[in-house]
Amino acid sequence: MGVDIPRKIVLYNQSREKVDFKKLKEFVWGNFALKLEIRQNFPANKLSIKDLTLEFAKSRVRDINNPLAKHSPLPLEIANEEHYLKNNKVNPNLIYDALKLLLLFEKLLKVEDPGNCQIVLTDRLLGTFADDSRFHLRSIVCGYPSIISISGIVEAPARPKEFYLIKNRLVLLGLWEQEEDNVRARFKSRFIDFGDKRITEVLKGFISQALFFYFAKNPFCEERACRLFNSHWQEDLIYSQVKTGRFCKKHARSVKNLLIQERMEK
Amino acid sequence: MPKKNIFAKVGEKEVTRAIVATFAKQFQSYVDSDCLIIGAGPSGLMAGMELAKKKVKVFIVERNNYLGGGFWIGGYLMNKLTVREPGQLVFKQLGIPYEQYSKGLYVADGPHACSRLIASACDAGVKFANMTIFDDVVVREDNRVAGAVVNWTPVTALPREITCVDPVALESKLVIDATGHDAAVVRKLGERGLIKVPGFGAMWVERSEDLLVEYTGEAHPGLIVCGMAVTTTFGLPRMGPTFGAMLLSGKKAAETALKILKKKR
Repeated sequence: MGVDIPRKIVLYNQSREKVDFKKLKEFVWGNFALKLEIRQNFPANKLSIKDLTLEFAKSRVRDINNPLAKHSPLPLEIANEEHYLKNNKVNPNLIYDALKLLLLFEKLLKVEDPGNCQIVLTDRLLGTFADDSRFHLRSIVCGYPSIISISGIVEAPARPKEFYLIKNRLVLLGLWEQEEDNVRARFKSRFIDFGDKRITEVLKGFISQALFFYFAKNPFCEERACRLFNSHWQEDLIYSQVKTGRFCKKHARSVKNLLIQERMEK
Repeated sequence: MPKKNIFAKVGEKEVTRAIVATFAKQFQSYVDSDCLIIGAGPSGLMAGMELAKKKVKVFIVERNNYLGGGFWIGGYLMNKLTVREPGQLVFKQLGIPYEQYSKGLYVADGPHACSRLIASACDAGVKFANMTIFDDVVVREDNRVAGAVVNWTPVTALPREITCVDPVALESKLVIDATGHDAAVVRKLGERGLIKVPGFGAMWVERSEDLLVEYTGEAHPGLIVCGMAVTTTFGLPRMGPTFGAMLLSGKKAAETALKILKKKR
């Protein structure tokens, strides 16, 4: 049985993070024989800037302890969203409901060819409420399109426990401001930060996950040494995407089969 | 009897008259102001000072006896205040001595910084009602905020059964909520169903200072929010004891207020 192979991967880059797209294109071509196209702007859409800013403002999570909370955005929130859109610069600390954004991006990209695997790369911080009603930040949310969040890569997988213990102690003492740079430097190798060159390497894994969701509906793997591993810890993320940087045997086979099928179709 | 009379001969009744007369004169004048600020912490003081420097008639209501809020001390009751760049520019502007601790991080003495900020606000022309607690909002057409209802703070500490002391109202063209995490004015609007208040998020010190300044502004017609009240109003991640954002938020609140007042004229 063949699978639904996309014609190409289209990545809408809404992020200001420095990413080596050349490397990403080579990775996608080398592994999946697919073209990775980078686009800076969403296609022309019926949604006006006014509608769009309102939708983004509505998607904000204002109370992470209350999943059912609804709010009407205040004018200042809408004005700030307009500012973010016009300047392509969002604040990476505002949290958005990933499912609401998925619906919004789906609406925005509806006019596009459905034969493409579409990904939105954003600096917005995303999260979802899990079954336990607890809010969880996300690095990737798979859908049509999938959304990959740079802020999520930095903030969603937990940092080493020692980092939080030290941070909490210093915050209580009012010394965090003074010591933050030193503490971050101490843990530099153990978590991904903004401006980190390893982000490109991590993105290879997340693009693979979006692609696997597109054709297999299952983006994740339980094998830690696989690019499809759903990391909950930064150290796991670094291990699966940077230190190992490959697919496990099972998924390597899937990739190979995909290539064969693709060549046959061509 | 003292050997020498150092002080002028003034009786108790004259002292009492001086207090009552001057307080009443000031209070009567400031029953109506351009801008009423609730809360005399760093952001409220900063906003008040900047506005008063531009000849705006500013009245600050403070529930405590002392002004300055948490600006006297830093974390863990240690009286050193830290600000990240460009917060030190406010220290410089106010003539507060400070030193660079590391790249982008500056430290000042709490008592010196706080007293200088209070003095600067007074010098600029701000007037205060301390030991005065915010009780309710005054609203006008289209639910525009147009003042505050206040009472003496001690009244709130007594059982209601024995203290039926009605509050009084102060009118103003604008109100600034600088009440910290309480966001007392915003919450009062929330109780009336005019605004939804989500409460502040989890502690997230790293970058929430930027957000706090970014979201300082008019939250409802006639009401500007600044300082920690911003995090409560907009559901932003809460901050630790950092003061740069308080000072810059106060400045931004003043800029916003000036724009609104200019339009009103």
